Amino acid sequence: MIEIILTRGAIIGFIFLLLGIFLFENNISAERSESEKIANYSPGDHISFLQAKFFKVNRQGQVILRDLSGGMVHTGLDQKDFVLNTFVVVSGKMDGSRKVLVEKSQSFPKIKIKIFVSIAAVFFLFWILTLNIRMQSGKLKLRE
Amino acid sequence: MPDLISHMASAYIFRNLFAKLEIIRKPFFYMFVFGVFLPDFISRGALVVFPDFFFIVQYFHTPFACFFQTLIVSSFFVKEQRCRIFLAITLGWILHDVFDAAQILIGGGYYYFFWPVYSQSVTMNLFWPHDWPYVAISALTLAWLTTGSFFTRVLKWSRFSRTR
Repeated sequence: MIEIILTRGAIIGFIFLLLGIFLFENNISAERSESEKIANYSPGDHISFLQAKFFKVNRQGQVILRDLSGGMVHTGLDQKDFVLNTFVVVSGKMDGSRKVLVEKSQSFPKIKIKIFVSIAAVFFLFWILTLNIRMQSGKLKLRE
Repeated sequence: MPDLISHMASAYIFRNLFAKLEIIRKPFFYMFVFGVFLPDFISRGALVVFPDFFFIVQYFHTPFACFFQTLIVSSFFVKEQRCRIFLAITLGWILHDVFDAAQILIGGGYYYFFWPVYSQSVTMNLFWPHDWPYVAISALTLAWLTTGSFFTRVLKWSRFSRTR
């Protein structure tokens, strides 16, 4: 039974993978992308998770972020160590002037180094796989 | 997510600790490492290439999608290796998801480990994601410390010092 599933795996897997995308889009991602737009919040609303990028600091020294759709997020944060486009995640409450009173925040200043390191790891993996996989009658085979 | 170097190191640690498990011994170990990388290939790759599709590509990080991706990948291999490759990749992405779940994330992040059964993201809140350099160094050190050759060297050294 397992062998049959694995033999037809490419077709079965591809069909279910595609169906899953639509299900995920309806269940999770549509709702999630709406909940991460600052424009969808009203004064008094609680923001449980909002990802944004550092944009600038206003005259009062408070941080202004940009959400993923480009909306300006005025915050009460006064951190000076952000550089342009630093990835930030915040949660908090929107006050009467639409400013987000941040309760928790996370910043990811070294994300580019992380991406670079991860890409290097991927290249290493593919190099290893290239050395250890060969073709045998139209199928792939690991060298034993 | 922790960086992929940390994930790769976690694969080496796992292999060193469970060396007798056939599906993580060579040559299947390479597919185990492939499995450790699998959830991030599309979901994080798209972050760099297609940032507008950020939310939808998180689907490829779910165990549900990983299972079917594993099914597709393993079906390209010869019949006699297919089942073991499937198990090696599966074990790899399970390890990846456990490592990812260890992070502290505001609002739970984007880790829908039990989707479509449970539609909330889940974390174990053990370390902050911005601590990834320390996690990477610790994981690499632990991977090196748990290697058989290291243990053998320590054992030889202790015997040598006893005989002197």
